[in-house]
Amino acid sequence: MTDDRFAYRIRQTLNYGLQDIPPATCRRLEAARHQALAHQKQTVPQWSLATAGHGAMHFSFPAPLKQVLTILALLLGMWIAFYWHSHQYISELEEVDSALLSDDLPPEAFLDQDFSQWLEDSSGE
Amino acid sequence: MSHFLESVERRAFKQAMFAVRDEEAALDIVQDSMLKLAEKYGNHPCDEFPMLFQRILQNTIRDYYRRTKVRSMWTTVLSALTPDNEEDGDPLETLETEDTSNLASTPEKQVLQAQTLTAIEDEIRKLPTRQREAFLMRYWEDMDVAETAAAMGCSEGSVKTHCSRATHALAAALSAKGIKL
Repeated sequence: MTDDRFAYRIRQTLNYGLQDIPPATCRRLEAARHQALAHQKQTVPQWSLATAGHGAMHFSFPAPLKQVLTILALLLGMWIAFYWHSHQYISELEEVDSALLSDDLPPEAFLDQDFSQWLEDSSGE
Repeated sequence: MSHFLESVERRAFKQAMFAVRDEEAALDIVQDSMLKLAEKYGNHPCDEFPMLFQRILQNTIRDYYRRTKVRSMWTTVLSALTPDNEEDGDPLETLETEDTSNLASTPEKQVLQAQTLTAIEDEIRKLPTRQREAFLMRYWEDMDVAETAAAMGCSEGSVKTHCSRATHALAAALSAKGIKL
């Protein structure tokens, strides 16, 4: 008889012996199993990309890559905020410039100190 | 995880019994092993469970040996059982079996099956620890050589050697008792 065949017979007999385990022991094994399952470590939530009605594609990144991606996302957010702020500032300047250029007074008048003094005196009167 | 533990818990209990020969201790070992597997590796892929669980189980059995060695000289003797060539210790009654591979369908066959089982379990207990671990993982837990090697922390060649020696030792011991499988 080959080793595998012999081992298979042993396995069959051992499996037969599993039926002889007392019910009380089986109950304790079952209780131990439930206790273990209550403490089971859960899977960490992963990035997921929903597909068209066919479940979701899951991607998991190694820890160092996650840190790099987090930093990159932060830098991208900061750049977007800075760009948006600059854009707003430039738009405000453009409005002032266009108001000045479309006014009857020439822009040089606002740089003239005497003109400013005259405006203050006029408003005082 | 639940399905895996349910499928393996009885065999794990028997394995622990082979090693420690004490029902309470064996139950504690299985409980600790299941808890460790769930707590530390509960989020691992299911196909890794057999190897991880066997590794934890064998380590928990070794921890039990260490603790009991300190506690009691009597247990030290038992835990240090490493028979070189386990030939007939106490010969059980010689059995003439025609076909023990089939499930016992008659009371007589059931008795023979039970006696064969007792003899096999007795001989498995007598195997050296590493041989017993390798044999049970390969042939009872149905793990392949690579998985068994990973669980035992040794090379695949060592696993094959342990399994071969265990198989031949069991065959010789059972043959000496007149048991044919």
